[in-house]
Amino acid sequence: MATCEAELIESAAHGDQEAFRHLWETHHAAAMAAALRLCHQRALAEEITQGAFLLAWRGLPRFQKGNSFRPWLMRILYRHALDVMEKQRTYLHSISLDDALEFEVRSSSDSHMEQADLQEQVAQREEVQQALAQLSTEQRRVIALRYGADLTEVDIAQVFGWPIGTVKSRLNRARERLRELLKDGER
Amino acid sequence: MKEQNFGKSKQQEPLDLEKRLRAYYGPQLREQPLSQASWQNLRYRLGSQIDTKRRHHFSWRFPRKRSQAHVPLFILDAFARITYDAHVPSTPSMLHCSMKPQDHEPAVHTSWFGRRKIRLVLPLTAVTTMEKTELDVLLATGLARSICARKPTYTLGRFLLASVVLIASLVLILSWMHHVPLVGFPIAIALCISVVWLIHMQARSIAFHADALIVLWLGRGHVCNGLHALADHSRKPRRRRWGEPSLAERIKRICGTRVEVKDNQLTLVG
Repeated sequence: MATCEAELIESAAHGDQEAFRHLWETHHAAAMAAALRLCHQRALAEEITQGAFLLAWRGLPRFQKGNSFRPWLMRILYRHALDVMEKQRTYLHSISLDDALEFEVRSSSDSHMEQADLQEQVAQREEVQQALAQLSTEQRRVIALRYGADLTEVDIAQVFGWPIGTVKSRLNRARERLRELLKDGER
Repeated sequence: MKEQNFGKSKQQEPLDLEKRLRAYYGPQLREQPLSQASWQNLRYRLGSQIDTKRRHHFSWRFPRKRSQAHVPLFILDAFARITYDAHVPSTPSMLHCSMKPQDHEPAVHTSWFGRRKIRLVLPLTAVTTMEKTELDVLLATGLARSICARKPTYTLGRFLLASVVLIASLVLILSWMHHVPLVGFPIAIALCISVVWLIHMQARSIAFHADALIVLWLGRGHVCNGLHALADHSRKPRRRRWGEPSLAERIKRICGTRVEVKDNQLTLVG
């Protein structure tokens, strides 16, 4: 499998679209799931996934042999997703009930949720989203990768190319600020 | 007691924040497969990796030059097949492709000055919805028109028309210099209008000659299928554009058939 993937990467790096199609078929569904979890909008997630694969295609000649494709692709996807989300200011969009329901159906096996519970959940998510909107871009990025992608501080540092200390401090500051903002919101 | 409670709440706080953030992003999702159309869209955007590399290397020399990377591979394949069958020397750089919004009708444009450039304009959905015969007819039309436009008779015609425009300009300048603009202006205008009309006629003549060529290359049946498919996807197949015969006209000439009139039927309820 690994050898096969290495061959596909090698061929794709030389412009073989058929080889790249195999890589797309193997990895796009996982990439789409990760993008959807970060942005909560299906159309935007699809755009992010396609954009990430396009960036991967362009970056393939620089791909280091022997490395695994998936983590490399996911690093590209996370960076691209956060860029797109910042550009589109997704944190300022309000969450619709339909989106929330679709998200709920996709993320849990139990799709029977009462309307009141759903409304309550949307309200809570709105509150978090408003708090996130007040963070700095870097703080929002580390929070997204920590909680929306379950990455460790080391992984986050690798994605952005920041020193680990920077990631830790940004994450701590972001949490402190969020705590303050959410507390204020509860009052 | 108070201190104990305070300590407890301090310990619970970070847990709550984590919980709320995790609830906001939700659990890890299962894989979300996308449709084949999604890959087709991406494939269109990929272009050719080799050309991308070349563009990267030579970008400082040709910063504005458009790369072949804009032409989807399946179009380049079809173009190569047609030029091979027609025994026409060609290079992929002759072909340019641009994607327009979904409601745009497929079209092909060639240079009136006889330059070997074929510009294909397709709707975004063409990647998934366009039939092979449609694409073949469009590409063959572009190729045939670019060949016909370079024929000596048409080149000479263009030269003559350019001369007429020059004469019209001279008439205008001379009449202005001799303070008789009311005489020169109508003459110049009349000459320009006749040039425009002659250009229109020449472009139509080129189009009909090109149609005869594509019938030779692709076969009448294939061309008819392609033209009918284009007419089916067109909102106004009978509409003529400047210098361009309508699809209905081309179908009548090549296939001897008519384009079916699309009726907007109303569904009666009750």
